[in-house]
Amino acid sequence: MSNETAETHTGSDIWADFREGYVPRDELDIHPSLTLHTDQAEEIDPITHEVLRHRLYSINEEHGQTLENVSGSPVAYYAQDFNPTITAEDGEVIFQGPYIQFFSPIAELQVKWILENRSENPGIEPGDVFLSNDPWIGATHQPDVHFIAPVFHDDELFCWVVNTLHQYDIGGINPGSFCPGAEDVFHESSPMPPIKIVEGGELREDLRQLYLRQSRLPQMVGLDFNAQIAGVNVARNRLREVIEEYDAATVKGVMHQVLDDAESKFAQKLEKIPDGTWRARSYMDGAKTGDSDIYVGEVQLTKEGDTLTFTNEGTEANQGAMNLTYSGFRTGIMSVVNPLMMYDAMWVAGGALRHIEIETEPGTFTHATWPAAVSTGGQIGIEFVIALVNDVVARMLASSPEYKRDLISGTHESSGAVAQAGIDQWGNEFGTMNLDCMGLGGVGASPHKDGIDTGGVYWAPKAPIPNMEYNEQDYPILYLYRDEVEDSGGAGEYRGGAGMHYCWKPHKTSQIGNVLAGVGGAIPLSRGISGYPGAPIRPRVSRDSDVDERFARREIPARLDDLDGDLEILPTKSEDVQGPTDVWEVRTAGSPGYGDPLERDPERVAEDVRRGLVSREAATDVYGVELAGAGTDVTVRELATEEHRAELRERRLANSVIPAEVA
Amino acid sequence: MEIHEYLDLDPETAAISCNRCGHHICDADENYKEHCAMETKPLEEIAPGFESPSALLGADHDVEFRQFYCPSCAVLVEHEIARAADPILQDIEIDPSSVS
Repeated sequence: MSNETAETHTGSDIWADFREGYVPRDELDIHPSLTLHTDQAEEIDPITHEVLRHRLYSINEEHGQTLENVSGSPVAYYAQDFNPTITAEDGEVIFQGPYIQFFSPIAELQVKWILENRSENPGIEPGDVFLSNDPWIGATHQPDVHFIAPVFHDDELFCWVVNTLHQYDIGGINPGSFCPGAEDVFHESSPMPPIKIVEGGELREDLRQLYLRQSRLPQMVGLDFNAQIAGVNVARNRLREVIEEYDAATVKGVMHQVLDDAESKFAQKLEKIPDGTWRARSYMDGAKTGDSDIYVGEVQLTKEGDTLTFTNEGTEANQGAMNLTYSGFRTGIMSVVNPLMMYDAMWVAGGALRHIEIETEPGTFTHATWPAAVSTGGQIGIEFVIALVNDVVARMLASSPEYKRDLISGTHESSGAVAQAGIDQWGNEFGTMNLDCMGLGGVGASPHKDGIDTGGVYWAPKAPIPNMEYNEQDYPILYLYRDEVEDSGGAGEYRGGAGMHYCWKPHKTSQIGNVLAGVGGAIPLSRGISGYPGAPIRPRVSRDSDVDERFARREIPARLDDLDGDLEILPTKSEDVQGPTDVWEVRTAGSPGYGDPLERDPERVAEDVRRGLVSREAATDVYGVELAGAGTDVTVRELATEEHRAELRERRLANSVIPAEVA
Repeated sequence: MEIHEYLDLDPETAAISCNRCGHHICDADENYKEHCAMETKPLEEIAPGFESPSALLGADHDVEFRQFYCPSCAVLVEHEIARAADPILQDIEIDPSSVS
């Protein structure tokens, strides 16, 4: 911390932050009237350390369960689209919950910005809670609203508790606040830099109303508001109890040991990885609704000694609605680094971040400058960055025999969330985000095992998808089917995870407005290591179909193609009005495989065929496996397989050129 | 030393080779993909389950699937998706002096 006097305290350059994104300096400029608690015990016995470490983790978990139990909103209750965080007094992330991972590293930015820019006016006091959703300070997009509460001990700021919860709607031109057609941020919900929503324990009703007034569904956002206040209160009270029981210096000592241990583990891993540079490149399909161009984005990772440096050189300029701010890029890094490299350090982001540098170019679509549209950042930009960061981190780990087994070859190839709104089966306004989008094959293969079919995403380990019956109960939709998708898991010696279909029609309503915000529909984002990419997202609609006639005949179509209707593939950034006989189907993405498909154990290919996860065509053409029999009686023709694989290898070389020899 | 599922880097000679057959591919500071056998396909031929992106990008898109094989044993070392005009990405560049 700097030792600024009251006269020289200026905080950060807030207007530069609001334009380019807040990047905290090593030395924070905090007003001297605020004293941080830094007294920590150096000698803590191991038993006390372990008890406190797990108790602090459990407090953070209870914080998350409070959000889930108090809110009742579908986003909180069914998808657990939130995460609680405990940071040190200066903002370093110590504990993050097991929910949406990219919320927690961002909490650090919010806390640091508040320390720099709110410590003088309006001041940071016991009982305060700040609210913020500003992507240029710390959010992947505006619907991710942070509640940030200081925890005081004896008039000193001891630590912070933070929760972040995705709000269904807080304004903007589209219900759901994903605005894939936005021209700029003024088409979207307003970014709110940190405001003191609770002052010394008293809720600021004027500010609460200002906040809820932004939403089309203030009652639902109000549920989340109450839950977020309850969450920080529960966590704060529990921390006070622990401090009371063990004394502040001991608790603080454990917190810093946890950070130091995480740092140490991370640094030790880096010692076993060679120095080098790894590069990833992919393409954004459309900058906004109606745009069919593609835009290149790149990520480079350079490892030198005990430092990782991430850059985005070669990424195109921010434009349209596809953009992500600096804070999103930063947290995208941790969304990969934590599960792949910090799984044995309780995912303590702060420890790893001490060895990570970020040098991104402002004005690019992965470091967007104001007033670029960023409301889809939490769905489009963040997924794009995570896919590329996974690519470079996985390749880095592949170069280390010590840590190769820890890599996941890639995450899902693409993503897309459908925000739905209209009049429900009871004649009331409704709005929701269809959370089936989380049911994808987002865990790719590893060097020793297959990916996880419909396993969700590794950066949201506790996020489920709601039962179909819940969605049918709450909203005017009727499902035709959900099922895992054949040939959607990327081929490889180890196969990537399969995605799924979800298919629905409007029910007891005249129409539903669907807004799809997605990425990777035309070009898969994630690249396996040798293993093939998985199949990308494919949103389709069968318009004016004969679904009602089929229902009248007591038939339930099992495939969209079975319907008699006008079939249309939708871009990943779409706005659509779904009529009563329009049937929507979304195929969620699979994830990449690992290794050459011709090296996969033929018996495993046969088992995949028996389970309906790999077609006979793919078994023969991609895996080179010749099969006999049908259905569950499929068997491998071993000799024919050997011959066919040899033939495919010959064909590979016959169809190839060596670029260095051609140039 | 193994630096990738199918690639070794010799710190003494700073050479990259295929670890399935031992074939010398290139020096460590070169792009190994430039020295592999490259096959190019449209995206819809990656595998069943992949559709042509033409419906979304227009028929004149030039996005392709590039596969890179060991020129000797034909193991699939890597692949990438790129616009035809985009250079072959050098995705791995390791300092041989840091390899033990």
